[in-house]
Amino acid sequence: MTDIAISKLGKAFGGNRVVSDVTMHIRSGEFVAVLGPSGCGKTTLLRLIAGFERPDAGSVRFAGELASSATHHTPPEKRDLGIVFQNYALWPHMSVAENVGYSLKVTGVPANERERRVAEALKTVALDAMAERRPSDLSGGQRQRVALSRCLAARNGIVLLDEPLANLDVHLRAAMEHEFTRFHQASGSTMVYITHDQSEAMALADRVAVMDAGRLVQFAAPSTLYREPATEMVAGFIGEGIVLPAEDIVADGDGRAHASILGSPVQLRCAPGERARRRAAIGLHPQDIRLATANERGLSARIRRLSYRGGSFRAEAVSEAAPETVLAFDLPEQAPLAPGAAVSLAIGDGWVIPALAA
Amino acid sequence: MTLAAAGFARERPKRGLSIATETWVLGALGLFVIGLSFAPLLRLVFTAIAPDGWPDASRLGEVLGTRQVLAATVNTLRVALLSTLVSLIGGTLAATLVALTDMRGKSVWVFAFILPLMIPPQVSALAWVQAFSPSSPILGLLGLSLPAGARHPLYSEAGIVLLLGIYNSPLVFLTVRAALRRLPAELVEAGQAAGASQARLLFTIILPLARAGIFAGAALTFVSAIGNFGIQAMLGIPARFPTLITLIYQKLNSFGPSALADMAILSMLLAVLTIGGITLAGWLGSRRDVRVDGSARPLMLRLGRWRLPVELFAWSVLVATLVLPLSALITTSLVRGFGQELTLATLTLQNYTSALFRQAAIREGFLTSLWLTTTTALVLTAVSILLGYFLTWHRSGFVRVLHLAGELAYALPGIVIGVAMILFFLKPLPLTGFSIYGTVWIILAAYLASFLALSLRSTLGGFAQVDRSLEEAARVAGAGFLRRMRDIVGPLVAPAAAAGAIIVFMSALNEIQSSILLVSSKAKTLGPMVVFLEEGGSSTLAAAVGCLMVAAVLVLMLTASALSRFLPRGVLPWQN
Repeated sequence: MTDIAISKLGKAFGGNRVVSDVTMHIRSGEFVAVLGPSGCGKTTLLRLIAGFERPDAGSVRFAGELASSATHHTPPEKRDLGIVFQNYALWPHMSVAENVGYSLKVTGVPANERERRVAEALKTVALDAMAERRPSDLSGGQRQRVALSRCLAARNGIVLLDEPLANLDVHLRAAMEHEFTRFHQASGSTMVYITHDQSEAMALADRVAVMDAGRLVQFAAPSTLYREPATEMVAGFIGEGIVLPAEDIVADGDGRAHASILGSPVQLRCAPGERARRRAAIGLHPQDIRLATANERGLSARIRRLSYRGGSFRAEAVSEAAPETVLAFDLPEQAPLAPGAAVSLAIGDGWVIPALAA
Repeated sequence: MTLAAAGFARERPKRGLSIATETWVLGALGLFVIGLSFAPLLRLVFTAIAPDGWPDASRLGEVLGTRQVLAATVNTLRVALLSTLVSLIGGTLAATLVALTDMRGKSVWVFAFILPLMIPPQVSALAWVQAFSPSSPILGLLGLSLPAGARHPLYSEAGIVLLLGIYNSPLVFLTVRAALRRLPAELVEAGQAAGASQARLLFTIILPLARAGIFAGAALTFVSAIGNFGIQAMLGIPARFPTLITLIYQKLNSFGPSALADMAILSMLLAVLTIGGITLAGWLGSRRDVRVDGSARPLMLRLGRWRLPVELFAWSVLVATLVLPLSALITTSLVRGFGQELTLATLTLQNYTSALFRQAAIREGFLTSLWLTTTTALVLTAVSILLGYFLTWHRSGFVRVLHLAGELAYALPGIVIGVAMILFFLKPLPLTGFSIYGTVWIILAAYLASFLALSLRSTLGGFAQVDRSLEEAARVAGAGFLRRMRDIVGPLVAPAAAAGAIIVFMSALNEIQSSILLVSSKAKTLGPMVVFLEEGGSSTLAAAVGCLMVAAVLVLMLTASALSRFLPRGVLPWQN
């Protein structure tokens, strides 16, 4: 069992708090993505877990055993974890096989077992033919697979991935995402995947931890993040989210609520404990907005911009009542609308973002 | 059982061991640098300001106030300033030609232009002295011999200024070339668009923009001129023209009870002048014009019909300053007696066989030097890789202090280090009752202190090219500190470290200043040999030893050049 228990972790660089009060429990064998805009502290979190940085406060435990705290520090070389670095960090002076087998050599695994495990790991990522090549002779995708097989051969209980797709071409990314899933299934390792790309995070992870300004904002399954964002930041960040102000929220006790958005009545989802509120922020997605039918009382807006998305148009409309509110939604290709056209919009779904805990 | 569970079942090594290794290594590095570079210099300052154990400025004032010291200080500053002017003109002209024009055969020319800087100054001085002596084999050949019995023209202040100026020109060349290379082509093209001629461009736009580099080069040259013992001693002592550095050397010969304390005071004066010059160089170098931080597209002025005359001029300068003196040296080394004409009848290899085999003292000098320089290069390479690791990836106040101490020991004239070593190691080492003074070990200590910065600079250049994640990946693979250094970091910085080792080897082989103070009957090195032989009247033998040293330098430079495709740009100064 290699779970990671992070408790109240904090780290500052010269008075600048980069990670503050992060608490999360990553279950053994889980695939967790840490997602956030650049500068949110996700890379520092990874370096704290890896042991490259020492925390100022809080602790990190692997399988119950203390690895990091303000007073205790297990150096990275004693943590038994694997890292896939953004630039792969393959040693240029060693062959592919030597790269993959290095950690086994260091820990004193006998030569014949080492060779067997290296061959096995390279076979898993379909690089067995490249074993004697130098890293410089490989393509970007192949280097990435060598980095992965390095963790496979070491049989690390924990594997950390630091934006591993950032340096790859778009067409390679999909293939590599598949490779990560396969790796996760083959190794059963606990995986922590750092990324700023939400589609990667949503596609790969069992749970996603969203970070903002050094804090853990929400840690939940991808669909929960999408449907039930905990804060306005998450609501706006995930899935082209739109945050709208609503008034007169009345919860009916079973997770449904009704309210008024820019003067139009809407049906919403909310947390079970939600109470009646005068004002709230609502999180929704372009998929939740459509043109109102003739007998619906819609929200009047004006189309500001249309961009073709292949098969449909993405429309940006500005509310007549509040011109600073931009509503994005999809229009079918056949619908003939021009910028400047007046439309009536209906909101089909939305999530009442919980009030900030006092 | 999943793979993960199997992995985790792997036995965990005991904790805490690796922290200990790193701390240990850092402590040892600290002891090495502080013990060899910092402590002896501290001892020197202490002796200078507190000769009897408590602060006493009276002696300081007494020594600094003597006419002899005042005259030597004035002389030192005069030759340093005047020779800086010579270097400034020569170096800037050379840098302009190489960096900005379409002159042909640049790489060979640059190699030959930098070469004098790599030759020991005492050998250079010897070559010049022989070339211009009344019985010069070269001038004689050209029919230009000076009248016999005339005073040697180079045994004068002008001679020292000329030789120092020529010797240090490559220093100005290097900094100015670097400044010119940073110059964005747009600024010059804008001037061209405004209709300026090429000469006008050079004087109104290019050189003013490169002035930070020119001034920094001038300050460096000034420092180097103050501390150039070889030329000042070879020319200044026969000319009875005392400078600070020769005064310190001569004090040692008149060893009295107060000599050491006086040497310490003079060394401190020399150190203060040097540090002043370096501070000035650093300040000037950092005052970079913001407008020149553009895209550095190489710019090229066309020489047009002037190309051939300019090339002829550039090469004839090299003939006059390099080929002429060196051929005098070679000629002298091949005849039996100084002044003899070189013909088939007089040609002999006797001087070389004497130097290498027959003269026990010279042979031992070669062997001792070889042993010392090899040891210095190897030890410093290891120290530089370890210190470079901490400086690059685990910077702390402590390692910065070590870096500074190393740079300081390198910047100070070797004679200052020599005096500091004598003062520090004169008394027996604690616990052993054994004094290394007078043995080969004190010379080794001086070399290790003097050349650490040289090896470190090159190695740091190598570290700058290594991505840190390569080392971090080795950490997560479970490799401890020493293992990482051996398997990962060492091989990755090896080319740069090797280049550093070659440069250290070359500098230590040529070293004269601390050696000349520290050599004894038990331990002789090659550097001062030329001076001793020339002083003793064995000019032909001195010439042979000098030629052998130049040959060794050439071999080392070419070896390092062969490594150059593995090296970061700028590690080898003589490459264009």
